[in-house]
Amino acid sequence: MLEIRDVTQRFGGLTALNRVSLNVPAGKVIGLIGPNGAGKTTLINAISGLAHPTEGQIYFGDRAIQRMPPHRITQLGISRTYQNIRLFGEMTVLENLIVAQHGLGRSSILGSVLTLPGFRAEQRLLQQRAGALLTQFELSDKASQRAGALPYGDQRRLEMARALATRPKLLLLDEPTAGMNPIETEALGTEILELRQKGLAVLVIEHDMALIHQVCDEIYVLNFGQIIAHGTPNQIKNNPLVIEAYLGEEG
Amino acid sequence: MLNAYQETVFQFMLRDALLGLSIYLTLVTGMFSLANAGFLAIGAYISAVLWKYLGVPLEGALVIAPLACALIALPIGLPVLRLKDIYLAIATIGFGEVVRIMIINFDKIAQGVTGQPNLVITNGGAGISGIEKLAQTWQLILVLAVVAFLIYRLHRSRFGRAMAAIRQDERAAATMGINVVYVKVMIFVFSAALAGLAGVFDAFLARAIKPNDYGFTQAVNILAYAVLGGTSTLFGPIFGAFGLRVLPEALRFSQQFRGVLIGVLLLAVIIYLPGGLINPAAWNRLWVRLRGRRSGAVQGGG
Ligand SMILES: Nc1ncnc2c1ncn2[C@@H]1O[C@H](COP(=O)(O)OP(=O)(O)O)[C@@H](O)[C@H]1O
Ligand SMILES: [Mg+2]
Repeated sequence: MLEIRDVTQRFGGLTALNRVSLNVPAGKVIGLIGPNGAGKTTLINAISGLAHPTEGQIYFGDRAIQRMPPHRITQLGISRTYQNIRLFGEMTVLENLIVAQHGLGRSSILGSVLTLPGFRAEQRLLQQRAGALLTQFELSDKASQRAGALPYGDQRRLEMARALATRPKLLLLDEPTAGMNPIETEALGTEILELRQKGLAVLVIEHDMALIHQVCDEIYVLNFGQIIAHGTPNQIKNNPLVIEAYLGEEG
Repeated sequence: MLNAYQETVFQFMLRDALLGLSIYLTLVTGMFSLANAGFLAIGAYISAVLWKYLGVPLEGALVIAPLACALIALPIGLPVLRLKDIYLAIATIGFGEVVRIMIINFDKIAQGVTGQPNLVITNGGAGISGIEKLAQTWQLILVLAVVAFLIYRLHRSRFGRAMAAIRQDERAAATMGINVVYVKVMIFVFSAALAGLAGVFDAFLARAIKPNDYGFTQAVNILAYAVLGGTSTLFGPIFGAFGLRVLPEALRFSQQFRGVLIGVLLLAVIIYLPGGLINPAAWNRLWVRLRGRRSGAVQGGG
């Protein structure tokens, strides 16, 4: 479904990604781990179109997306969350979920200003979908609160709900449990598995190894911009290179 | 009802309100553009020239001037809107200056191109005078009402939400499927058309226009409407425009100090009510705080 081929990303003299290749098959949950500064976020930025890679190709289905603008990539069915939460803080929880459906709307500027009949029907549909996500993520009672004022855990869940509001086929999660307590983390793991059951593919960056083992079908390990290992969670657990990379970070 | 002088002030209030809405559109989309004065100039000059040399009436100008401004804004917006914040402000001030200088030198260029040394169109720095005062108060009210209504509807539409999203976090907005470049350029174009519309009324109210009416000072004045009234609702910049037109008139008793007084007022708003005067949330907070203080005092006394 997602196929990354030899992607290199340079920032000036720094090579943040060095010939990275990675696959996310349909309906699978793939983990991406590695020490801080390894280039994980950079890879997600490249996939979502925020920073076009210096070299290499990214295929989504049979389309090359490495030069597409971010909104087109989202409309094709790739959505993401951010490591440092980037909700629309001044909007309400509900508005965040409605605005995320922008790319699904078909009404033109004129059509929506003049409130043509199609626009009204579209509005109702957006509200319904947002309502379903609120229920799914247990945010219904907070629908009219300002997103920026929510507690941390709720903001993380709203980010995930907002990413799903774009109706993705592939979801990119950048450290979704950062700052969550163990109970919230486990609930999120269950959520990810439910999404997979519904047929969604997920690429998740995560430091919590328990969660990785709970949800991932395969794991890629990134270190200094290079994939140093790839395999099932059990294979990775015992890989000496991986242990070294993590020990190196602590030492 | 109103005497002639009051009516003229009122007409200029309405024209300024259009300018306030013009800058409001870009500000609520997160674009700090000061290009409005330049488009105001273009709108005014197109109206004046078309009327003077071709006899095109105000109604014709109301269609032609905004369209021309929109067409000019399109190729300018595409490259310029890559810039952000203060850089965009500087670039758009630059645009205003280019417009002003082109108007001043327009005749020389036209004389060169046509080979007619006596050709006069914009009349350089002296500008165009003797324009008939064709603008009617009811036309201004009608145009302002329609524009305000359309902006209100735009706000509640999917594009209005996209505009707010872009202002709050452009990158996040892009990854939510919003075509940021398209929305920004469209809003810049609408804003330019609106400034051009104000320019039509400007020409047919002022009767005489000159390039220096549309310089940096004018650009900053328009920004001041949004600062005074705020941009939480579209009534903010309308109120700001009204206020900054009426205040100088009301302060006529102190010719010397009115500039200072208005400056102090703007400063006070920026410091104490950074969201502007028309900001329901801020007034609400202020009200709650004052009430809290009072009830706190009662409890402390008891
Ligand atoms: N836009 C950028 N400009 C310059 N350097 C960057 C940019 N984005 C990331 N980097 C650098 O790339 C490296 C990888 O960063 P990142 O992808 O955020 O790591 P991770 O998410 O694995 O912690 C870091 O050294 C970071 O400083
Ligand atoms: Mg990161």
